[in-house]
Amino acid sequence: MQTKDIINPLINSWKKKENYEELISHYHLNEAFDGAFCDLPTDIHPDLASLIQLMGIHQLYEHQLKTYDLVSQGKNVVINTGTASGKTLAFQLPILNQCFKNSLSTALFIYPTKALAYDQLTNLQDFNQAVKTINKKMDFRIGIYDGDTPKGQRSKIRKTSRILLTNPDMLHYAILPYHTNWETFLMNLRYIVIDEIHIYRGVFGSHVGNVFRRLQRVFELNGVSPQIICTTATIGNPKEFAEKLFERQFSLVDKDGSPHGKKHFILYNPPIINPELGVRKSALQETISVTSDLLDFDIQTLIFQVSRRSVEISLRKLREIYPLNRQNIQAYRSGYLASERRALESDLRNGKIKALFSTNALELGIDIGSLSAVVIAGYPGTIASTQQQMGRSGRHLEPSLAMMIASPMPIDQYLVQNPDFIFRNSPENVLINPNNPLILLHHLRCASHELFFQEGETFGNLSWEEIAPYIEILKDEGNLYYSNNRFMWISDLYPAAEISLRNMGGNPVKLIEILEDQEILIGQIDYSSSLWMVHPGAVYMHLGENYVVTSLDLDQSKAYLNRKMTMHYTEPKRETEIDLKQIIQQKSVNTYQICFGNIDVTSQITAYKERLWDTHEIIKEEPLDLPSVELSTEACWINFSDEMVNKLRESELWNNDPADYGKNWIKTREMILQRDQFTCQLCKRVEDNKSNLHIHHKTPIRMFSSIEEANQPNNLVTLCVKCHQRVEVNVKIRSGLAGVGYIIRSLSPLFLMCDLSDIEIHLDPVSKLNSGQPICMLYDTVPFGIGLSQKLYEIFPQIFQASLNLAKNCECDDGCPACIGPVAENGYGSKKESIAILSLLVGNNE
Amino acid sequence: MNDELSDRLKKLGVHLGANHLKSPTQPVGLPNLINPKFEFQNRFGHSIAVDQNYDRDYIHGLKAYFNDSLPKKQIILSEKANLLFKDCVFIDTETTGLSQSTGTFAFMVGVGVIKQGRFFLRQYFLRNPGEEQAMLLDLASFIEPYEVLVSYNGIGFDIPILSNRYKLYRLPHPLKQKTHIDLLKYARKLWRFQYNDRSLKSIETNVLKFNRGDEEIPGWMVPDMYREYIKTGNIQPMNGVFYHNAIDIVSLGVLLDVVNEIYSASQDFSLEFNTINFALALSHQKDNNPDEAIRRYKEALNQTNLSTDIRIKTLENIGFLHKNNSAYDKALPYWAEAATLGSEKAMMELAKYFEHHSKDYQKAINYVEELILLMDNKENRIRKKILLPELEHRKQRLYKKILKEKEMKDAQLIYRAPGMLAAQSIQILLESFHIQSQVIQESAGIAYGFTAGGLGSANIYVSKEDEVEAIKVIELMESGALKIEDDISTDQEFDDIEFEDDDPLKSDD
Repeated sequence: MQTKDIINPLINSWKKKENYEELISHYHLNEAFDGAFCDLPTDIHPDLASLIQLMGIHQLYEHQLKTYDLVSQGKNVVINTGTASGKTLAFQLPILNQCFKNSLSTALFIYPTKALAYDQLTNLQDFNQAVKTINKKMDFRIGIYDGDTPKGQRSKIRKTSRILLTNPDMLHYAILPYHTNWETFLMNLRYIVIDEIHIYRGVFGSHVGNVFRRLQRVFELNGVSPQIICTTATIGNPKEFAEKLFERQFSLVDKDGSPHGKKHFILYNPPIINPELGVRKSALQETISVTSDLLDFDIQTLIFQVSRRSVEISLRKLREIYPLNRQNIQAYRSGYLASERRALESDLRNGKIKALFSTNALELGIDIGSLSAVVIAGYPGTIASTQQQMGRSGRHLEPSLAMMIASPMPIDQYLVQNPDFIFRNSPENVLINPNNPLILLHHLRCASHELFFQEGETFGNLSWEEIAPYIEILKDEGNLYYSNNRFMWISDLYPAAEISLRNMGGNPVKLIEILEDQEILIGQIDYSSSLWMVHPGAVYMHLGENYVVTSLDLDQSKAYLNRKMTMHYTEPKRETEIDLKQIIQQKSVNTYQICFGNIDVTSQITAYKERLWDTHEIIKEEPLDLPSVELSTEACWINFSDEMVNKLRESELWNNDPADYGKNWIKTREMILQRDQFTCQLCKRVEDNKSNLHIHHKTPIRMFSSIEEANQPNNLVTLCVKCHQRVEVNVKIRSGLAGVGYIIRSLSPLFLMCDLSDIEIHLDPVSKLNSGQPICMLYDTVPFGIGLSQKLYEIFPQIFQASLNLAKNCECDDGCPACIGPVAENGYGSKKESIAILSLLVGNNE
Repeated sequence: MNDELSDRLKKLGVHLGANHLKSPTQPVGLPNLINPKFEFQNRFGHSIAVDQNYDRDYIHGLKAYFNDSLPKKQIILSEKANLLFKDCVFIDTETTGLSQSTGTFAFMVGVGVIKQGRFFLRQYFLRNPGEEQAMLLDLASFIEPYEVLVSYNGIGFDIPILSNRYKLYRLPHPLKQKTHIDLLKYARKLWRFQYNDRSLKSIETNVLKFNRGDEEIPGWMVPDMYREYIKTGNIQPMNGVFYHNAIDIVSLGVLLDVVNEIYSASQDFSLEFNTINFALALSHQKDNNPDEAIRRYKEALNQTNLSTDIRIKTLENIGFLHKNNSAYDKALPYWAEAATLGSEKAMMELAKYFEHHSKDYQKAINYVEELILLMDNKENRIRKKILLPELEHRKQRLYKKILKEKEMKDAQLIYRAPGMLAAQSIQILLESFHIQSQVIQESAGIAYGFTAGGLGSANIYVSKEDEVEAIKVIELMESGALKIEDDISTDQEFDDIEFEDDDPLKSDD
């Protein structure tokens, strides 16, 4: 099929720009694919066959047929093909076929969100209507069971549904604890479909894995063993992940047979505007300018941005450029109410919206129709998300565009230099840890409420020996009673109500605006985010409006906001303390040690800064009194050895060239010496020989705009030569370490194949964990860890090498956001020091 | 306990050990109160029950119920024919909680049967939860020969919980195939208007005139008492639970007899329960049994102790039953009587009837206006808000119909006033000249209560014969000769105008 390529003229217009080569750091074109088709299988029920032909389907894509065959053979299947590749038909076909053959068989469809379930409900109901026209006796009785299902309908749905649509939360909270009400449904259950399993990562996935273990016990009670069919967007380890989530063997279908149009791929790097500081034009500005180009060419575009804030700012800025088209430019992110979101989705589908700024909230398989272009403003944090977001353009056979605009972050810059990471390498593995003790305890509590444990019983792939300590705890807390080899639930608690699958705990905080004495709910965010996003005084943006938080009431889980324009934004200040619990593994590499172990992290938002929008200048810092958050987790860290520190000290890092201290230096120097009574202020040694005493600038001279400012007495202190050297080295290690931390923190998600928020870094040049020597630590942000630190223990050196390469290749003079961090951010330019530390870590002695 | 694990969990805010009590010692024995102990053993282990008999001389409340003829007595409550009292098992459970989730179990199941003129009660009791499976098996064989289960809220609670437990142990459910009489259902039907509280205890006190002794433990305390017992092994406090359960079941037996008597209509209970005829009638009405319902309603009307509220409802409902049968002639007198007692529903029905069936619009308007008046004095704002515009609409429609039908067949529109108030002033003005007029307001004005443009304007009609004169009056008014004051009631200025052929004192009729 030949369609007019609406993307070409745009690209041609860009090519006319003189710095095209510099901007477009990568371009390639994927040719259109006509699709791989097969005939309908011969063994499908004749009624079903005529039905789908009636619906205009005469052939299947290859992967649909393969799914059908595997399911017919009784296999559990995971389908890993692209967006809009007909996954739904792939799993519906074998299931409906079974339902046609056996009028009692039932199937359970699990969707990660209510919205997706409703999407599917409509689809299935249409199908059911069509079925009835063919065979009046056939009725699949499709039911949806979620929090919105009216109480009055629930009993009927339980008793009569043959295809049930629900979500994991509902399974956990309302179905499993009342599983006996579902006896008829369960006893005939043949299939479970779990759509979009890549959503079940991290904590959520660890919970859901346990929900399946509980479900499995109920299946055994009912004497059934349903087959599982699941779908996933591109992830690195679909089969392994499905097997871990459901603890069964799976067959993989991943060869996509569906046709697609040709597609242009672009990686775009904003131009450097200050080579010395390595400053590039901001990705946000570039995004706006690219989007306005797309608008000018009338190309409907979805723009993914990393933060809610940038979505709101872009919306405002683009609307300023196109004041007449305000309604065609919209934003979409979590925190909006469901009704607002539904309206945006439909306006996007019907073409009313020309440009939509969105966070990854739209990433899920929500049907928004076909889009001509996707712009990703800044690496979204994972390769999988990047691929999913890029997959959002080019439905049907039309040509399309997918481009990513690099931010100045090291990871973006690394990707721009190594595009294979995005286009060739496999996306991230999805990690879960259903055996996380806290999660496991919760679910064992729920499980024993649902069905008593008998001594020796297993839980998923956990043996009795592994779960027995937990059962003991449940017994000791008074919920279980042991007698006759059984652990009977005797309390009147309803344990499923105690936990939410979506997080580790804490109530969501409601965002409230008070208008005319009425509390208006404008959105909500989870507890731990609330501490840093809506603390008192925080500037919060919602639907393009600027709000200031007046108070945060954590008892009521409410934050009160006032609509108000401000010249500033706010930045929370977090203080973190680390306690080492246990070293599990350690090894020596080069001259340092890598350790892996358990730590406790206590962190608290202690203050916030107000910064001006345009210059980012700090105008105010206010203390905050908020509760601390505790995290018990796994960590991997580097203990710097004395040898390393000495090497840094000996190397050229200590620069004692005479410097220009200004005209009045001799006078100033004399004044400070007298003020400090010729005594080193560190070791308190009194020196008669004035040349053995140095005057130290607490904040380095280059941080000041004039030497006079730097020479203010409160910035000067008397030190002896030895102490001065020590202080300077510490300063340099501190700033070198900050640079190393910055780059490692940025690049490691790429190597750990995880989300940036899954790990956190802790740096300390004088760590009590390493007897006063520097430490560089990364830890899992999920309580008890999901295995990232453990993996890091193996691959840390690889990350050092990549970091060193990136820092060395960077064109900046003394640090920039794209490598070891901006000069201003660390207070000191520290590129040399960072490279020296990285070289030592890699094992070079340059 | 695994100390390392629990330490780690404590770190995360898991509260352990709050309930940490010593593992319970084995129960020492059964309460003194309890006499013959029935011990049994089966393939799932052994457990116990306590048996008691209530003989014919046992008096529960006002009288002795258990007698020789009781076992053969017919039960008419079920659709199933030929059910006798001896076919019933009276059942009540004591559980570890109120949730119907699978985590709740019955630690005591009391079952009672009537045989040989006396009441036999067996109370299964789990000395520890591990005995449950053995108990369930014995319970199943106890129940097996009987056809009917009689309970109080058993359909909603006891039976589902027991069924859950059979399911969890993979045992056949013995309860599902039985006929079930849930006396809560009947108590609700019969005494809904009599007592606010239809708990078994309240019905027991009020209907059976039975008062429980000091041993009684309130139901809400029971689950915690059992937990306390299995932790401490101290059985003594369970005495009260045994007593509570036993009385529940004995009362069920007696209550079944009373309810059965009331339904069989063998005697008049209305002296004792003045709402019972009404309640029974309503129940028949809901069961789509109109003849029986009307018969009971009429019996209620004959009661001298019937409250006005119930009397109104009774009259209304007889009317509705006749209406459903299209027998309006029969319905009318009941509604009329209800209307005189102030029934809104009846007035509404009458208004509908006179408008749509007998086309007596004036009568219809009378009822509608009476209703509007009633509404104005109503406290309930929501009802008022919904009904008032509806009534106004109906009233206007009726006026239109009157106009159309009667002297206003040739009605002439002579003036369009900006709102109802202005129109009414003009109407009064015209009336003072003995010109009959009709005002009809555009419905939008009624619904929204404001006037804007053509919406909400009020049209004034007079009959053809009065047209010329009416226009004259209005012209006079518009010219300023007749000033309409805000307070219309002062007729002073009109007196100055003289009309040759009119006698102001002449009345219409």
